[in-house]
Amino acid sequence: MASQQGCAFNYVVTAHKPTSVTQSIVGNFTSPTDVNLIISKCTRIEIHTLTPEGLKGVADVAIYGRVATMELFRPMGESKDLLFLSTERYKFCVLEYDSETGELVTRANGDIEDQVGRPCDNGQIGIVDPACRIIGLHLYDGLFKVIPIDEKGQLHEAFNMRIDELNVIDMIFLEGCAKPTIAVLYQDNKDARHIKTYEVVLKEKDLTEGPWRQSNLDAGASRVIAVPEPLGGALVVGESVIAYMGQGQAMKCTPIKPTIIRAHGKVDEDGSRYLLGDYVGNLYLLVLQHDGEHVAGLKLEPLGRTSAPSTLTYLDNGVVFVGSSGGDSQLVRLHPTPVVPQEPANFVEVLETMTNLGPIIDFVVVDLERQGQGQVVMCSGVMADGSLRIVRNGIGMIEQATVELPGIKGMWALRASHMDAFDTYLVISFVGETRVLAINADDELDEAELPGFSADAQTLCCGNTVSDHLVQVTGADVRLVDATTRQLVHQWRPPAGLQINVASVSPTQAVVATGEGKLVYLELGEGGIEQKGHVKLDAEVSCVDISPLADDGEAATLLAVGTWDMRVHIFSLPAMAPLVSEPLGGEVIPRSVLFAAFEGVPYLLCAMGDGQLYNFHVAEATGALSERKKICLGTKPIMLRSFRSNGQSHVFAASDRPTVIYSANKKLLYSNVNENEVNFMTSFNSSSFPDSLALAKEGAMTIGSIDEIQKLHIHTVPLGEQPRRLAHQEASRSFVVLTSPNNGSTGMDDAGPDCVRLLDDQTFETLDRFGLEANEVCCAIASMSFSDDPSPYYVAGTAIVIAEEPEPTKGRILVFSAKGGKLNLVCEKEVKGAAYTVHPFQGKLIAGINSRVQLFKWTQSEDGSRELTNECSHVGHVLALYIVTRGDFVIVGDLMRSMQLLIYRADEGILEIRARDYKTHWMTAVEVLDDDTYLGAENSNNIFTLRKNTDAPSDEDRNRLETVGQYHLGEFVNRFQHGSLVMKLPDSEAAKIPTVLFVTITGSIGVIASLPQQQFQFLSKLQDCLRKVIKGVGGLSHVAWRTFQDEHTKMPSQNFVDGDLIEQFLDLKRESMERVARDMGEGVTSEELLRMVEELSRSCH
Amino acid sequence: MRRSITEGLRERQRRKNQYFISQIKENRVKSLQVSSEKGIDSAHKGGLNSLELDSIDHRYLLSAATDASIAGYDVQEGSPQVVGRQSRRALTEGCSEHKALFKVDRSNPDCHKFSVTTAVWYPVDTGMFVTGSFDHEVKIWDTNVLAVACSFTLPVRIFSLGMSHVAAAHCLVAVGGGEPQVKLCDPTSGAFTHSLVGHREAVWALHWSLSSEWHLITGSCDGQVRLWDIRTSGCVHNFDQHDTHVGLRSQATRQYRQEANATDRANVSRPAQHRTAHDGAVTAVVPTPDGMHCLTSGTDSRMRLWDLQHNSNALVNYPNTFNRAKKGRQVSVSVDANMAFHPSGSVIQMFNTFDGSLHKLLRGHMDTVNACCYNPTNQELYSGSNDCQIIAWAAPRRANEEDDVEDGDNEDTWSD
Repeated sequence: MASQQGCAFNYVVTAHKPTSVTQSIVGNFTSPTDVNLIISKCTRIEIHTLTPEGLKGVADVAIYGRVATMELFRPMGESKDLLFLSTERYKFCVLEYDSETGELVTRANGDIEDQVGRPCDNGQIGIVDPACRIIGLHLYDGLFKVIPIDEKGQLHEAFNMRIDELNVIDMIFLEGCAKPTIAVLYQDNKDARHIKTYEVVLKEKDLTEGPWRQSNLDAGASRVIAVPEPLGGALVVGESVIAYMGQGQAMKCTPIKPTIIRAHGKVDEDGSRYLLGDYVGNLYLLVLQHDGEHVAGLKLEPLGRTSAPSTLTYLDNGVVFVGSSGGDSQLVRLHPTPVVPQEPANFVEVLETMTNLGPIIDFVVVDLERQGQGQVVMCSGVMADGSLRIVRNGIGMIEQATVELPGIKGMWALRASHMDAFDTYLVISFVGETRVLAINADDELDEAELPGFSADAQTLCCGNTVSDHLVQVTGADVRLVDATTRQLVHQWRPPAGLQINVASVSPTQAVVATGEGKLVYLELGEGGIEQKGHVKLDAEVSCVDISPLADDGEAATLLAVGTWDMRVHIFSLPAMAPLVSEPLGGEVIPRSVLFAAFEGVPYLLCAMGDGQLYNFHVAEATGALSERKKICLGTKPIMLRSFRSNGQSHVFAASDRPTVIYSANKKLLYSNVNENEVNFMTSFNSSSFPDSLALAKEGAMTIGSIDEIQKLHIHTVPLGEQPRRLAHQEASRSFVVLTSPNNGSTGMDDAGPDCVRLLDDQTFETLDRFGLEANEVCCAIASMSFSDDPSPYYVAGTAIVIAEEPEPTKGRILVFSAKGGKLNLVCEKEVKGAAYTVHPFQGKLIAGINSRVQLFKWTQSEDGSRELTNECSHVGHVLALYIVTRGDFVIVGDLMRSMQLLIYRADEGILEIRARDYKTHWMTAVEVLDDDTYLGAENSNNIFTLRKNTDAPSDEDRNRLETVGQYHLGEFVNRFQHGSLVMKLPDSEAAKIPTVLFVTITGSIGVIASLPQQQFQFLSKLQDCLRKVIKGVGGLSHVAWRTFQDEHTKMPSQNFVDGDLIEQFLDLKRESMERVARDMGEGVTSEELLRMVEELSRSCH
Repeated sequence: MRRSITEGLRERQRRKNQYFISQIKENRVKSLQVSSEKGIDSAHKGGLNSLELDSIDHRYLLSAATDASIAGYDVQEGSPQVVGRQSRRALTEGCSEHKALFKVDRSNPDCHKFSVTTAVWYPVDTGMFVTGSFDHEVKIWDTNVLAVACSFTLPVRIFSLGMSHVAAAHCLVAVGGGEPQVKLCDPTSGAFTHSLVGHREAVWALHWSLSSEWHLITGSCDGQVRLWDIRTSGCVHNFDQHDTHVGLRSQATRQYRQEANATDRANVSRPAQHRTAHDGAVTAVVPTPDGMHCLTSGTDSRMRLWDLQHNSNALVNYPNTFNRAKKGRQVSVSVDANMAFHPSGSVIQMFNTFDGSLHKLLRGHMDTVNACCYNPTNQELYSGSNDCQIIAWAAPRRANEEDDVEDGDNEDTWSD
């Protein structure tokens, strides 16, 4: 068990891929004529093609690196563009798309790291000469690296040139120059900004002065845009002015309303128009007024509003991709006239929105619906795009129509004739009544009549037959209705006095149970209904099924019967000979039984009245049942029904926790559907509702389509302002969110102070607000209760920020109670610094205030009022930013001093240091894994684990927290929390593995699972074998990628296994899987590996 | 844009912000003062001559003194405290005292006979260190047993030595002594491999290049600073204080330089005495950590910054850098905030490396400061002086000490 061995061995896997878009470019990458949009999401790149229907995905690959720069270029002799990519760790590659295999081929790769040189604070700049003669890179201060490209398109060895400017803001290649010429926008040491041009002289490996320069630009000049021929020159975009300058051109400027432009995109090939997007999301069109040779002036026209962009790419025909790292990315169309008359200033029509969760700043794991399934509620987004996102593991249903219809007892879809592709009728059965809905001439669902059907009896079952009849089974009879005339043509009644209780039909057969264990087998055909056999069982029949096992089969050869004595029987058809009788055990009767074939393998599913599901492999010839497995799906009786989605067969298990059963890689998988309770279900595939499902819920029927199987379901609550921190309080069923208004990081507008918002945890509506003081910023929030006080409180930590002070000297701790939907300030305490973190600790409050960790008692004064009083503290940190506790221990994550372990001695009333990690780590998040192991994330996108050495012999060793694991995650973690996205039922395998969730700036959600040593070592070996088989895109190395690296140290990954690589095993071709199994040795088979990897994957996410 | 730490922290959660970290480091360096948390207990009875921090963990400080003693300290973890009031402070307030982990003094049979001028760590691991002394010996020590593994004898006093931190093909020790030749010793073979000839007087300072394992920069009493490629004979470049690189890129100057170089080659050699880096003895040679510049200090009371790509004088004026050293004196450079630490008398001057402005004076020592060494991982500076003390300088802890009232008095560590 993991807890016995400690949490030293960890498995890291991504549950939700990064969604924040950092860069995007357009070009012809997949073919000379395709318009491709390539999007970078930090550690992943996506390639799309623009089609008349929108963006079509071509590839979505992970990169073993964080993408720093990305450019498309076409060297001479190439018919389509190549992609140049550099990573933050100074590796680069050139990729080409092979249209035959659909794979990314590495044309070149290499290392561009320098031994010396200071990495640029502003990030890497990578640019390609318009004539594809060189690739220019600015990676280190003062150095310009050149990769020459020859006429055949081959890259040559890179070399450095010195540039005098140490603080480069932006750099581009100018167009239309005889020699490659760069324009460098830089800041001098007096904070003034200038632009200079240089010519690159390859022979001398040096730069010479370029054609023009301009000093003293706008102080906020942030980007340079190269203007293509024939105009040439460049645009410098600042905060209050945009200027055009060039050789032989007079400088032209246009003033703009003060704003920060964050993205630009070229619209016209000749550079007449550019799109600019600012930090709030305003979209502008910059027009260069020119006569083909000289620029006469610039004009800036506002176009409307989008999400705050990080990148803008003009695709074609007015379609623009707005990539956002702080809000949802969008595909928009620009119109020459206002889109909607009511908004005369808006020329932007949003075509598609791509959800982006990032940056995720804080989160909590809660169980809002009390279903035993954890949900993650997180603070997401930047400024006006800020929102709360509620993420749940499960399949989403996209609702298309809802009808109020209480009391539904059954639903079936019927086609107008057997050969029809689409369903036409929806038969809904109630107690004593049956109604039929149909698609009418207007493509709407309307009441319809099937005269042949019995409308005032409850339908037990119905379906289409091969002979173009519709069959309906009610309690009194079995009816065959002609599909064209819709009149009753044949009827069968059970012997007098008997009623039909349960029934099942196939396209040529029907089986009905008439009570006292009697089953009658009927064949349906042109001639009508013929009774072909009957049998009597010892117990009452509770459910039957004769679904044919073959796809589109017309006749079943096996009959499954569930009986009240907790058994399931298999009979052969048409002989009705008993083949198998399997006891199910338990005390609940089987309520639904179903034959279903998944991936060609026949199964028998048997669902019980208490929410359990059995599945068996069934042999078609003999009916023999094998490989019995049991899974708990819910707590109420389950009704099973097959349906098809995306060309695959699935089974819907309708109950209080509706689940879709499907198969992948020959294993049955279960995925929750995000609906509450579904009583009945049928597939309904009509022309107006293609591939849809009809669900009968309590009081209503919904028709909708189902999401892709196995995705996280995300519900968004827009806040309209920046959320900072979040806490949940079970007792008051509320959330508190700390928010900042939209003055952003520039202080440009003054929109008010930060505030504390109380939200209802079901509806997420804001119940109350508490505004902080003018200069006060919110830093921390937690829900806790104190000893000797039964009420729960919300405790917030704040800081008073004054412009002249580098570090706050004052802050407050505020204690609120959230009774009755109102925030009541119970007490406030002034502290001498910023209260960066607050945490409950043994009935008291522990807070990190600047460099001090302070413990407060909750005391009551004589007049009954409550207050916080200092008890003890510990100094010795640079800034105590993160605190977690375990028992008497307090783990403090410091700004730069990694983690320190403090112990609280209650008897003496002191906090003293027990051990610390002496390495320099700039921490970003901290969590406790178990009593001795602590997990930390640090600024260079690494995670590591530390261990307390209680048994070490020497004092020195006891005082040191030992590093036991390190790993380069590649993402910046903002928070860790214990919890799971997967429902952890008490008996399941999943429950034994402790998991920690984490969220990152790029919007990804991940899981760290602590595994037992043996399992970990097995997976470690599997990881090594997979590294040989799976090659990284661009020739990047997985080993190098996962190496822990910060400014001063570099260590290979230790005691962490990359779950994303392990899960790629599931997508391998059969031969590769076999090869890996062989490499693993010791008789390990690929089936075993499959089963193991899948189980682990399901228990994590 | 300067903003407070709190805002920087909030911004960092939304967008990766390297600038914020650089800003914090810069603030910490600029506010250096005598550390209130860390005290290094110097084990020497003579003035300190050199200090070096190991480059692997930045944890162990090696010091050498005039009383022939050598000592090593752990600057991360303090020595275990004696039980009592001071230890209580250590536990609750993070104060630590750092005593010497090991010491080589006259009781050790291998000890030097006279003043040890330089001690450097073996760049690969701290299992070995090299010392040079006025007793004409270069000794290579095994740290674990504190015994000499190998030694080299020179005919002159040793002033400086160094090993290359980027060496992969060799582990030569470059030795500068009282003679003009710079000797290269090979610990693996125990012999001298060759000498570098060119200086005219004693070599007081040297440093290997940070980018190439074959390049060495030396500074001598004749005022010359030379760049050598140890694979060739003769030096690659002799830094000339009048050779500046201002206007390097302008078209006019390019042509002028090309012509000047052409005529230069026509002259067989410019007289060597016209090419000096300093008008006095060179006392320190230190490349900046980014490997693109080099600082040299001389008894002409000048400190000069050299551009290493063009090997020219960057013409940065550092005011009042009085220097009357009689042997090498360490200058230290930090990348954070681009600060150069120049000991001058009993004070350490903090200059901005690139514009030469004086930021601050670090006062604390009682006598001439000879050695200083910067720790980039936590922005601390360690300095050693003739008053036999090693002082640790660090950013001050922020002012929220006032509510210490219930803890009792703020004790200092003076013994009564």
